[in-house]
Amino acid sequence: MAWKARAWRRRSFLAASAAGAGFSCALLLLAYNPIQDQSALGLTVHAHWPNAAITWELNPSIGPNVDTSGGTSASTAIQTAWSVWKAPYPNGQVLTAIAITQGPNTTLTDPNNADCQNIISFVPSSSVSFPTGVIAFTEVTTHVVSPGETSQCGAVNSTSAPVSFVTDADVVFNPHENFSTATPSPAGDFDVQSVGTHEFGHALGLDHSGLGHAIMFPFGDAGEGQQRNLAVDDVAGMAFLYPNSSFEAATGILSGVIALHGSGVFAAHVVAVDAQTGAVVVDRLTDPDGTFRILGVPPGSYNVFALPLARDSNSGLYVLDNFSGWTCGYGENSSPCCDPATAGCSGKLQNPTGYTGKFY
Amino acid sequence: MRTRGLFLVAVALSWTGRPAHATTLVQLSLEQLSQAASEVICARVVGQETRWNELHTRIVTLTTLAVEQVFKGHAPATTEIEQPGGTIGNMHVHVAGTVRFPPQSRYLLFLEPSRGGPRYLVVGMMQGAFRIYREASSGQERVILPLGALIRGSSAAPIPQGGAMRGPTIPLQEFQRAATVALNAPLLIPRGTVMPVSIQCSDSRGVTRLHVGARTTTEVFPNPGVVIPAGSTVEGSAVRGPAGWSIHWDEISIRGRRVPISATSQMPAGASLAGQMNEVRVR
Repeated sequence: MAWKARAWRRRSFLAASAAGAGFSCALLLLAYNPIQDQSALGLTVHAHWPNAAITWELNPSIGPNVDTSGGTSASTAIQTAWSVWKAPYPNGQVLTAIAITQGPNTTLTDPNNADCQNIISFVPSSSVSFPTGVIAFTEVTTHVVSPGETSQCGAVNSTSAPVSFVTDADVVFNPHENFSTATPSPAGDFDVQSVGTHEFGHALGLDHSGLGHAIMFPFGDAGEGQQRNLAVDDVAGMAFLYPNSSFEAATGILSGVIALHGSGVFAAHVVAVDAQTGAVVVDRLTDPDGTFRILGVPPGSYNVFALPLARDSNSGLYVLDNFSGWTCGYGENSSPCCDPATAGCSGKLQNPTGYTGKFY
Repeated sequence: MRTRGLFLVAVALSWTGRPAHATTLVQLSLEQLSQAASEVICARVVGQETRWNELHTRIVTLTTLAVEQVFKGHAPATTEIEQPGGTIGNMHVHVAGTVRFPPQSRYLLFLEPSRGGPRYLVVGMMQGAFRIYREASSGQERVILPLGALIRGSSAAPIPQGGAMRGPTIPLQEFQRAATVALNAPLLIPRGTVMPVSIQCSDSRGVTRLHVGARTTTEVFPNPGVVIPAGSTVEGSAVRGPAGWSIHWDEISIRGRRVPISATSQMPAGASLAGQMNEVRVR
């Protein structure tokens, strides 16, 4: 199924923005978000595991903060959390080609960004700092690899374009939070499986999603209902990174171009809403030529609209910084970000939508 | 009109579709940010360095701040924040939820001490970083609410009840007022709050009476307005009776702020209290 979206013109942008002016929660529809890097030529590349394969190792030690009474072992919860990312789509079809393998148990406790071992640890040492309110986090190491070159952990880029390989991903659970494997989690405890599923999404190459029902949504509370299964948004993100041969045949593609005065608009925010339920299903940013392709959309009818990104973070909520990798200034040697406060706009990606109106 | 309709539908459903699932961050209210922070400052980003840690196992990014105003704590004039991740050469370490500080940008920050170091962490990752900017048209200084504070639009953000908040930014003065209220708000540990503690010390106050000090071992979120960070100190007195030690806990210190509590717990006789794990249940 392919659905051609209309090209929306600037008046649509303005109408959409104006309609959202009275809602504090407007423009919060940022969905699946691959981790991205920039090549030496400034090209954006999505980080992914070479050969669509990851092997993980669990440190089976747990502290007194992990309660397994009334539930499975922590190891089982972790295994199940990984398996969720291979689970069939709602229509019963497997859409991703990712191979996830459990390696031998490890005694490593802390992340190591360069050892090419992907560990999960409930017992990080005191040298790993968790700010208050952080339940767990994942450190994902990526390398941009030119054609013919080899990444740090031995993967060769056999394509003709630069790629970003994930070479290491380590997950640590906060030893100062209470976890449980029971169903449902007791009040005050976080569910090991749902937290693990979220973190493993990072390990596989996904950043946070702005869709509240997605597993990659960043926030939650202890003791509430668990989310252990993927949302369409999560499936689409994973299949985008690691599609199998049946992915495009089993699902639809929303594609089109966002144009302004006849020219494609880069980094416009395209949102697909289920026409029957009104649920926001998935969204993407447009490519530099204004085109977009939203993969992994279930069969159905959709309303699609587009919104501009703000030209800078002083003008609105979503800027390129919110899309991991399409940014600058994070590393010591990278260019400073475009910042009106310093009149320094030396970054390459400036005001990609060309939008100059007020942004709410 | 069609666009408007679509947008309103999407907005309405994204609102009603509030998340209810535990993932990776606890969404912190302004009150909780204030309580968990040892320092609340207004500062400008003056430097950034990404480097390997001492063991050469992890990449960290250090951001140096010139402190302009202190609302809580005693932050030095030059303060350093540590976050995991960053870029060295062609190696990138991504940690979702961390803050990217543009050079020379100004922030109102809620910071807490890093364990075992002179640096600070941002409370709740990006939740504790509020960027300040001057609106070009009005000249007014405003604060950008972190993305996380808006997603729910609940009491977690300084958004007035009734929806007066109309966008992702608010005037700096308004935010400072809200932060001041939160910083000075009375702190009450709710009845029924349970805090796992590790007893650190016990000083004799007589043959059968001890002064007892303990530290909480886990973060506790009794309600959306209160957080008890791990490592908070709890004090009380222990009396030895025929059935063992009876401990009455009467005070907790959260980031140096002392709050009276009333709680009791029991420990077997004969055991040294120091080093024991216990559970403090507030009455």
